[in-house]
Amino acid sequence: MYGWIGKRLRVDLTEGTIIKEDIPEKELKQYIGGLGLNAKVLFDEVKAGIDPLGPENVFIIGTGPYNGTCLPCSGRWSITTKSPLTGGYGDGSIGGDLAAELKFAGLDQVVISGKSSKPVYLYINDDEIELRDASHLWGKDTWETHYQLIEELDDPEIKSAVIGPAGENLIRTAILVSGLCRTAGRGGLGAVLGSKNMKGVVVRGRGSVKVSDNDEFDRIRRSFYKKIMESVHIQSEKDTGTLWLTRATSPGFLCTRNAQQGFFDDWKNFTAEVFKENWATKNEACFGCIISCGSYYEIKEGPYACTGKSPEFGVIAKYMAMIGNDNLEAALYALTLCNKLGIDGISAGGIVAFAMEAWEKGLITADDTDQLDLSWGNADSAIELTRRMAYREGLGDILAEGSQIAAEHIKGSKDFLIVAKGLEWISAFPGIGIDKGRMLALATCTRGCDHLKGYMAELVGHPVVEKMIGAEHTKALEDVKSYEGRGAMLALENRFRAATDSLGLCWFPTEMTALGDLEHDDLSEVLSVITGNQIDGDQFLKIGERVHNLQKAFNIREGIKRSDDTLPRRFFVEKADEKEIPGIDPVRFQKMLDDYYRFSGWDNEGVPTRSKLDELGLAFIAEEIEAK
Amino acid sequence: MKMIKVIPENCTGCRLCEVTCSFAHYRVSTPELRRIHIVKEEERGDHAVRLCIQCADAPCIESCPAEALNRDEKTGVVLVDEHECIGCGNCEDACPIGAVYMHPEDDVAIKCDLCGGDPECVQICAREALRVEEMELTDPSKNLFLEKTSEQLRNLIGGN
Repeated sequence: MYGWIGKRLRVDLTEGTIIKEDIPEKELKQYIGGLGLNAKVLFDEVKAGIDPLGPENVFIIGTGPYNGTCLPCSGRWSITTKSPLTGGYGDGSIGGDLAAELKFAGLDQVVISGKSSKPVYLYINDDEIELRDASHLWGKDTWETHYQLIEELDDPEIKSAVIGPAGENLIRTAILVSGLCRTAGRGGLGAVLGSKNMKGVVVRGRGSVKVSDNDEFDRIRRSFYKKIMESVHIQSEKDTGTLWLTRATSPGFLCTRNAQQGFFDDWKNFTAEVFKENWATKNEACFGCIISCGSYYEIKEGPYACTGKSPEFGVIAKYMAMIGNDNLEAALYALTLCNKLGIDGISAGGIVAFAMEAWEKGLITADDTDQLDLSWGNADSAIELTRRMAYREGLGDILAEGSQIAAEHIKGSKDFLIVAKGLEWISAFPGIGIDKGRMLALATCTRGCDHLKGYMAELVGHPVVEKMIGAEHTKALEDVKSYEGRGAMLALENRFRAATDSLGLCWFPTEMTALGDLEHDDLSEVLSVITGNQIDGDQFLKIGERVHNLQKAFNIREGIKRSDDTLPRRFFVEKADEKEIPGIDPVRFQKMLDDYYRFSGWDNEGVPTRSKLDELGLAFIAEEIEAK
Repeated sequence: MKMIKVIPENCTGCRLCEVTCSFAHYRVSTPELRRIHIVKEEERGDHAVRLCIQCADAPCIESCPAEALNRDEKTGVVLVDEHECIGCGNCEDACPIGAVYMHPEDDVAIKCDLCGGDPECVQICAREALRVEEMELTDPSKNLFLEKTSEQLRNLIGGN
């Protein structure tokens, strides 16, 4: 096989068995790999209604056909499981080095099921694959664990992906951490491993990845290199990754003090430029990456002395604007702490902000917090509360369930819950002039509030848009105040993202095709050259649509409804767009949702129609979701 | 002679050079067939870069009983003659920096050949941690890159 290895590892923790099996070629062609193939396995193997933290849940690691090749920026991989936070489809995309290593070890995918009677980790050393005792690692943070594994396996080149105390303690915002600072698993996916008594996965591989057409591949890898290096959009992400968003969101789009407003006075304290000048030490990259968006940082002295890498806007913005803190050193320290604890900083920072608003309104007091002062801007309290969440101490025990469940315990707090489907909001505030489609994307994303499955950026300005959604809708997209065209556009972007995230390619080179990024025709061309299975751009988007429908169907089977495709109450303001005040008009939002469903080929409740499922080769799921 | 200069401070640890090297020489992507080797250090990015420096007084040439390792008179590159190589592995042992490897299947030595003058690894090193420059040949003991690499490798691997 070319590109793919064609092998899946099945690890049954209850029985302690490890089996390597062939992946049918048809499955690989239909779902590509990574996110797509994981979606298929999750839908098939997790029954509706199971406890995400029970042995019936499965945890899937998936690579794509690009991983392990010398195609630039091919270091991404996916994890997929049922989310303990949302109760729905849970997945995460992650970089680092593990994907290539897994391919070199001869595997495309790892499916972990059951529950071990004692702590274990999975050690994959080419064909030598075993579950090893992890009792001595249990309780250690993700960094200590990584170093301990290097020492005991006597190999500095292992690639690890592990959980920290948050995952072990079944925090519903726990994540998986690879190579100290590469993370995935918003929605508490790390807790799923914790529930299985599994500390993580360690991989070393020495095998190879072959491509089908060497000469063509050689040509395309060079053109990818050139295109990525020359992309206008990519320039903003070199060195400092997503931190350019601080400046971009400063005109009223930056959630501040638990999203009470969209302007943060001290935004200049955490721009990419300020970070780079004061704390960045060196550029950092995932496997095969020529962008190196990550940056090592060091705070040499003072209360926040620490090292770390990849200062991600999503987390930093939470520990800055969202909690009203003006000190970037404290936020960088919080980020490093989140990575060590294995807790999702976007959620954790959001939960802290939620608690701070509850404090401001007098709904919780010093008696509830063991005297911790939760006033806005108190970064030390935010850091301490994050730690308490990971260890379930005091109020931290309630907050560890996520803000939606915590709101059940804090009377009167539901009005300022800033979540979608239970997942804490990212930092996008619906300020005046925000593209309404962005809010639609966050409201409808299958894993809860998330912008990574289509966000009104990727294909804007691309000729495929007019071809697929029509001239009228395309024209409407030019008016940021309009609610028209967004539903159609998002439906299209869902397809593009789902297919692209199944390849093993990083997000950044495909984020804004209008600014020179790679587009679906580029991606399908190289996919064909790598695997030998010829597909064009349209077929590529069709695969994406199949994958996205599978995710949607998983949620429907779990009972997630149209009413869950919604925004935090705070963001709905009647006739907002007419009166020059921020917010989203609730009536027009529903109309936008109608459009989105219609263009997706779903009925008015957001359920894929029978004809759509037939068209996508997904007839097998029709009965399961029609029953709902 | 024209050689690859390594600037470890610029290395991001991406290892695209490794797989590109393997693909360029063998049309397959695998760490086993790389002729450049990066050991990534995750916390501070103090990565070790291991690459042949084409020593002035090359121990690999001296160690070869089959005279399969020779310096190209025009370019100065130390090359393996795969037809003459008997696969004894003496050169691998003799190299003080571990930059000569044995092919895992074909029983011949492999090492950096500068791709005939336009090294593939340099072409794709986006942060220019690898550059082609006119440099004097040196012995390993006087090579600053080697000293740094050796120190890093000692710290990381505890070897060499």
